[in-house]
Amino acid sequence: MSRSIDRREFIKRSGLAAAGLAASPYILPSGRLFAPTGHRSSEHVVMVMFAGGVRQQESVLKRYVDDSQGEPYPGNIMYNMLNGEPPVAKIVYGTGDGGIQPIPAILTTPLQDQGTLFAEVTALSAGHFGGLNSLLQGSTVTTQGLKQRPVNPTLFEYLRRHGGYDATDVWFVGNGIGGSTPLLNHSAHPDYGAQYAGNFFAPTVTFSGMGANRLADAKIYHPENELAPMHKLKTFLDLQFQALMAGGGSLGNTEDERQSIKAFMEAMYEKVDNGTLDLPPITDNGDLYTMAFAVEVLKWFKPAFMCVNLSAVDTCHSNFSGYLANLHRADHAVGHLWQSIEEIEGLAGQTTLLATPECGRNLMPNNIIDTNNWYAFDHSDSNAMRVFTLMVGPGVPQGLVIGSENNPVGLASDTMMTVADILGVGPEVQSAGLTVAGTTSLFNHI
Amino acid sequence: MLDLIEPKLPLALLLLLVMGCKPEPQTRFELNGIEVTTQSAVKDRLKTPEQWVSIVYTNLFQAALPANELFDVGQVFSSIGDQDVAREVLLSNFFNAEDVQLPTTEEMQADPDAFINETYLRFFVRLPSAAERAYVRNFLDNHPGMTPELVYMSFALSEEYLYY
Repeated sequence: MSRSIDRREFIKRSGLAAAGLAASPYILPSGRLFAPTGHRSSEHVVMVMFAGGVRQQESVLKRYVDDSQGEPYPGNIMYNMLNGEPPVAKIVYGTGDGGIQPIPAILTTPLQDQGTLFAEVTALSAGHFGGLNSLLQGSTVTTQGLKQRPVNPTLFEYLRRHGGYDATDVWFVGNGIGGSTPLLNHSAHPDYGAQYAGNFFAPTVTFSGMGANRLADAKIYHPENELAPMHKLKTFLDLQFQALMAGGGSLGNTEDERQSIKAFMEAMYEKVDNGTLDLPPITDNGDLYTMAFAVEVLKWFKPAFMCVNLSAVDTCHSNFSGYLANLHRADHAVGHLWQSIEEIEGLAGQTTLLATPECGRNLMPNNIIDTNNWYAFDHSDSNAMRVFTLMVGPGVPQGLVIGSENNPVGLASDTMMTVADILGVGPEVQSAGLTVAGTTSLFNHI
Repeated sequence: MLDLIEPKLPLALLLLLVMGCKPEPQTRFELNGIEVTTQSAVKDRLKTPEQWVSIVYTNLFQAALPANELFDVGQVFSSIGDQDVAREVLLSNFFNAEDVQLPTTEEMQADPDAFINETYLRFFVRLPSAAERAYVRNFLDNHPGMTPELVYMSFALSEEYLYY
């Protein structure tokens, strides 16, 4: 249906739209009228979704190939995160031919000794997407499908709506654009949604050759002489349109934030081009590049909350040796992350790090054998519901281990509630009632 | 009786013939050319990122974006959370290209009403209302630094352009 409007009506509608725009900053984007009721105990939180389906046996139980391939060689291949000696033989997870050179530790003290390890946590899903959603929504919803926005609010939205955090205060750094990952920065929940979303980059795509070819040659406009009038005319056009139509879901970055993101992108293209990106000592897979860019996001924006998604260990479906190598690298990535946090002014000593796998892996292997004659593992049984959470930062007890193989403590969804708790919106998230029953802050288990 | 009738018959036939041969007036029916566009900004279907990219490329380059390029740009768009930022950065890359089709500033200033009409048609597939045309013309008069490039960017980044 189309209809024309006369000048009087046009001016009236434009005026109403302008008035709405002028008034909106007082109620948006936080949408809250009152201060959050929780207490903020850390300035920054980084959550690592670690890292594509991790078996307890090769991670916290440190059994290496002893509990998977019938080879009597246990050992710890995650020595930045966990304490314990590495395997003495059958080394395939490092660098060089056959991976025989383990990557040296970045951290002198493993995070386990600097913080608290919840050694046996119950996952909410044996699958990736359900697991990722449980870490971000605090629940799994049976109606939640792939290629669909989360049904319940994500952590990003809780933080922005109830904590009043800016858009560039909450970041999601994804490992890619597959598996609906780009949809996880906000939900389709009617009370939350895009205006409370987290900013998102999948840096291995954005800053790859593909991204650089399309976006790196951006023209620089003068902010006052060119950009300002351009935006002014755009505002007129938008007011015109909004007077007739409902506005679409913008993420809610302010103009300053948008310019900052553009400047960040330009800086990243330049760093990639001239080889000055802050890479981990070994950077030979996608997760390590993702973590390098995540550290750059931390340096540039110093966000209150950043979530990083790693996933390379999922190669375990068909290549157990590759899984071990990528698990070793995911640990290397977290070591680089923590070392960087401790060096970034404004983040050092004021940042809490949490790492939880979105799901585990099966107890029994499938029939696929790799070049070392080792069996691969999928994730669908009860062993795939076994994960861990590692937490380190201000106020977190050091050297504490809670739970054990026969004594599970906590849920995977506790990780998001702990973030909400640390950043002061725990009560609001609890009262929203959209997390799975029993979800609580991990501090309540200590 | 017959004598009385006979002389009149040829006369009547002649009269009929004369009347019957009168040429018809030449009436020609023609249609005036009318630009068929929507007359308002009522568009309620959101373009997908690929549709937006494809259309804006066509609007700026007067050529279609190759399918492989479109796929790549779609992938890159998916990797950026704030689509407004992605659109702005992509556009500023497009405007850096040599083959972008833009009127000159002189052409814009020589006939601003024609430029405004053409811009509305190009981007919004409709003509501006009188009030819109008056506002934009006044805006261009008061902002001498506005170039066709900046005007095009305003239109391409506008909310109306996100919908069809």
